[in-house]
Amino acid sequence: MEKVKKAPASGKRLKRIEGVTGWLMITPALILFLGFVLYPAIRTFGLSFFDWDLLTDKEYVGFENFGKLFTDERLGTIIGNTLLLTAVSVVLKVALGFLLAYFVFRLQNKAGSVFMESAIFFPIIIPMSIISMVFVILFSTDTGAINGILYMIGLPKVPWLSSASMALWSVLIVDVWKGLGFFFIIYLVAIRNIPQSYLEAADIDGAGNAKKLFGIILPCVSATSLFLVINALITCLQLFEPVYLLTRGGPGDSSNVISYYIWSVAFQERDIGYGSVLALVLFVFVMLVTIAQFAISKFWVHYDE
Amino acid sequence: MKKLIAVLLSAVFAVCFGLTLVACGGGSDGSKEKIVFACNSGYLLDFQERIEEFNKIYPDIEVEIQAINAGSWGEMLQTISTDIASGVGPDIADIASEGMYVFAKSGLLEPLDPYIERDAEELTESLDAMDENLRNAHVIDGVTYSLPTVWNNMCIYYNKNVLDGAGLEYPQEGWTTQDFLEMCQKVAQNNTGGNNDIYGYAFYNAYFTTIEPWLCAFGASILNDDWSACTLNDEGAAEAWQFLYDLINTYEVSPKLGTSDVDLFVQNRLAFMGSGLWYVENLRNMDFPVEDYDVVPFPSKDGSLRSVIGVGGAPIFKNSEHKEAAWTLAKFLSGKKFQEEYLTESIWAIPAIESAADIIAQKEDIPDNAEIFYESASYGTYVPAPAQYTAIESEVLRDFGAYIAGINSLEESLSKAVENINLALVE
Repeated sequence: MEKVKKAPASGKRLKRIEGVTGWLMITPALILFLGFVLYPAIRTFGLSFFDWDLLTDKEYVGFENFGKLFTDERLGTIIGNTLLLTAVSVVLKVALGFLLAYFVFRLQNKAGSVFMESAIFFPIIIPMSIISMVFVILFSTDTGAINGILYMIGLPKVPWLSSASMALWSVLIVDVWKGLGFFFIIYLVAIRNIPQSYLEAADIDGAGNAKKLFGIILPCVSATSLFLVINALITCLQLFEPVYLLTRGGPGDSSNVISYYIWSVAFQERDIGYGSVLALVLFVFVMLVTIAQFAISKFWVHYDE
Repeated sequence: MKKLIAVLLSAVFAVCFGLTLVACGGGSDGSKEKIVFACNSGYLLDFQERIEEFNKIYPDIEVEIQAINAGSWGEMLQTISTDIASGVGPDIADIASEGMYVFAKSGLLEPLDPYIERDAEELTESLDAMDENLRNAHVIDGVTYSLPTVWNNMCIYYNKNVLDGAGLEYPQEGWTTQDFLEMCQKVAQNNTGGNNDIYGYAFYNAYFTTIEPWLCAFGASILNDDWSACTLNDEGAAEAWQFLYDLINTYEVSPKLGTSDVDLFVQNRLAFMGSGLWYVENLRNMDFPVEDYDVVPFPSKDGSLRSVIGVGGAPIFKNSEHKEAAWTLAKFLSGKKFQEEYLTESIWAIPAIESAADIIAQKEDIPDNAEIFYESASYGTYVPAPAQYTAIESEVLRDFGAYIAGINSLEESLSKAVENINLALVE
């Protein structure tokens, strides 16, 4: 009887210890989140109601900064660029990442596989600033290596960074080249984690490569795909570095995207209030897109039980 | 036993904590007055050497250099503005014309007239050795906010090998924009669009180095004389922008916007490039022989001498608690003795003291016509940099880039620039 009485008490204590341990374990992340995400987000929301140039005193202006959203002639082009860049970048990173991972997975030669893994992953470890500097040189219309090669094989030179029709695509090329390795490596791990028994069973049943790809591999990595799509969407919507380093949003606004525009309004024009409003718009948009992704994921994501 | 372990652990923590504090303190002995001096990280090594010299003379003042990684003066201002807004701004900073107005007009700079008046005797030798145009560069609404330290102008570098190859005489002071165009056309006349084409002139979408000097060459400017209104709707402005557009798109004597001019120049594939003294240092670093190039003032539409100038200074921030120490450093950086001895080695900018500039001009590894650098101090016009400089720069670059890329027509680009810049000036 005594043991029966003590058991619930010990269970409670265990739960309490587990609870405390759990809190302790998430405390570092929580502190970082509160200090570097939540607090700045609340401050940004507050600043959107003020006229402030960073140097002089803030002036409360109510919803005036929000009204600028409807009179800003540049915003439409910039949002359009952002959405186009994001859509193409997400599709390319996810599709190419998967295809490369599938190719390496099927590669029989171990040395070749290791080389491919290293080569594709390599751009991830190079800072975007260095990559951009190299691409500025490569993309130069009249002195760049890319156009030099194009000219040698009889093709016309492309004004990669100086043309309104090419600047955004040049930014996209750099973004995809730099980011692809992450998508590739995550997909490769996901494919390698598919139980071998599934593929062996398919072999016994006489399934071909296409059947295995679409019937086993793609459904098995669907949860990974969800994670990668959400990750790609969030990072692409917030893309700043290659735009800043390659084109500064130009020529005109032809390669301008929302993150660069937020920085430009807040720190070049020193309109912190409107910059905060734009940042809030981006925040809300990213949140809605992420929620929508989770909502529709139940139709195509399969979780292995 | 447990107590002993606890005591030992406490002692270890106490020692570590103490060591950390000492490390954070940077070895300050407490007897020195400490000031923070902000500068662009590109000039960090130069300023470290200068501060070392300063400390030999003033050992009681400890100068902490805050290096700011900025690609332009606009970005430098943004960083300092943000630091000031966060309450961690510097005591004194190396700031060019592009930043002086914004800080002065925001009431953040200490007026220096009382200090100059008090130390007039000490300053006479240095101030008398500066061109008046430079001396007055940082006098805003009758108040002096900084003494000039170094400055820059814009001139044209010409490649002798390229001009010799095209059978052209070297350009002389008094040349016109038409002369310039004809020489560019002669140089580029055999181009095929290939990888070895030779160009007349290459330029960037840049405020100080391209747009304002060429406006100046056509008798125009981004802003009017008192920087209260945009004047890009003047006839000269339209001519200047059209001229630059035609160099790339009509006459095809310039490569696309943004092509590295200095790279083409050292490959002997470029006749002209625009820059200040700092390109001498660049060319020296790229081992391009000084005998193979020289400098000449910018051409102008009517052949008159014109140049745009930007003047650097070391203003003191009003919220500094060490203004006297900062003023000591400011005087040192603008001083004749210091400039003659230490500003003649690194040639990223022209010293404000004429005799120091003369020492540079007489060096062997400096182009023959180097005296034109200091000469432009008297006729040069200040780069338009009112308090709204960063917004204006951003607007001008966007509209100029859109025009050159063919996105907007000349009229659209200029009228958009005028409208938005005037709006920024009112705000």
